[in-house]
Amino acid sequence: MTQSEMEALRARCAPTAADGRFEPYKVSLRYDNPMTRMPHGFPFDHTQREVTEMLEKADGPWLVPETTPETSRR
Amino acid sequence: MNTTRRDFLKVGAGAVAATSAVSPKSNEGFFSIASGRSEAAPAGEAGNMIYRRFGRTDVHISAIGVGGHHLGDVATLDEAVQLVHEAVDAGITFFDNAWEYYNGKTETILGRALRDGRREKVFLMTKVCTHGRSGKLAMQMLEDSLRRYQTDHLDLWQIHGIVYDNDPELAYAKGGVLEAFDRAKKEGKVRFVGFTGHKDPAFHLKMLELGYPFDSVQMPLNPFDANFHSFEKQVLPEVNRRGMAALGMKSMGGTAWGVGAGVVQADEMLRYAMSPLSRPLFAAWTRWTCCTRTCASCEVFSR
Repeated sequence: MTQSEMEALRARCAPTAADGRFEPYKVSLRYDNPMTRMPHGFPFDHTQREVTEMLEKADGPWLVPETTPETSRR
Repeated sequence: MNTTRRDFLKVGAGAVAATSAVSPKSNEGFFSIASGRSEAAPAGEAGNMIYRRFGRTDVHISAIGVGGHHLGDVATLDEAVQLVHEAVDAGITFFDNAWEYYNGKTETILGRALRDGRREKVFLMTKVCTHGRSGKLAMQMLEDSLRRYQTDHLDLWQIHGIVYDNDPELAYAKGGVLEAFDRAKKEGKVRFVGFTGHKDPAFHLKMLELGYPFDSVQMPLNPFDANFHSFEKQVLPEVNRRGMAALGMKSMGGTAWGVGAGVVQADEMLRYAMSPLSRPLFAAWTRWTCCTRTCASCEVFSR
């Protein structure tokens, strides 16, 4: 794309980009693999919709990693 | 499998047409395989692929790559292996993966697909998934990855998912993953190192400010990102200034919901991600597996 084409595309996306609705990896847990969350000591609250969605989406069986994980929230 | 190599090459040719401009900063820009200037360029046909310099190194990688997670989505091992073979034959040299994808399944698939002479044709990456834990664990993960890949070294080893505010602090801590980076490089088990993340440009900037000489930085780059907590505006200039390789991801916005909503077309997203004019060191990797097989109409991108 030329610079002007890129600018036009950015401008077209701007109205719907401003709340992150089309970038869920920035504004939700949807892309946070549970294996990312566990070592940081964050709990799994199964009453939270986002946590439920994250667990449904994750690669299973994610609780049995090949290498035993440490837990080290410093 | 309904999609043929010819179908894929059509996509590749489209990408070439969309990015047929030379980067203003890099004299190398990109070039055809026929030029023989790409270290990992496959021999023979596949002259439609484009290659970009990996940061300030002399290595060049294909401007489009194969996302490793999606190898786990393919129905059978044979299909996944064939998909990788078609990618290599089409000139793709950049292969992404992560230690934790499908609990190692996708690394095993890629290792299986690249044995028998294809390993040396590609720039092989995976990500270490310590997520704040120790360098010792990182080295264990590296050995897992090498065994699954059936190789003795990685071309690129990246920290997976800098997505929490204390991730930079944990990475730089004594005994942390960066010490494993130094050791792995010294032992010849990895050539280059970097980090990835999709959450917040501030976390990426903190990783850079703390000073480790990363070879690459991976981040979301798409026209939505440019308008919201933008990696393109905040992180990319700093990565380029430091001469590191900027690697894009989420070229379709992850879910492609913007495509589904009719705001943009899939080809526009891809062309944007691969446009070199504002990002001379940029190399996009994207999910051509989806583009060519799962959903040619781009209606059902799942990730």
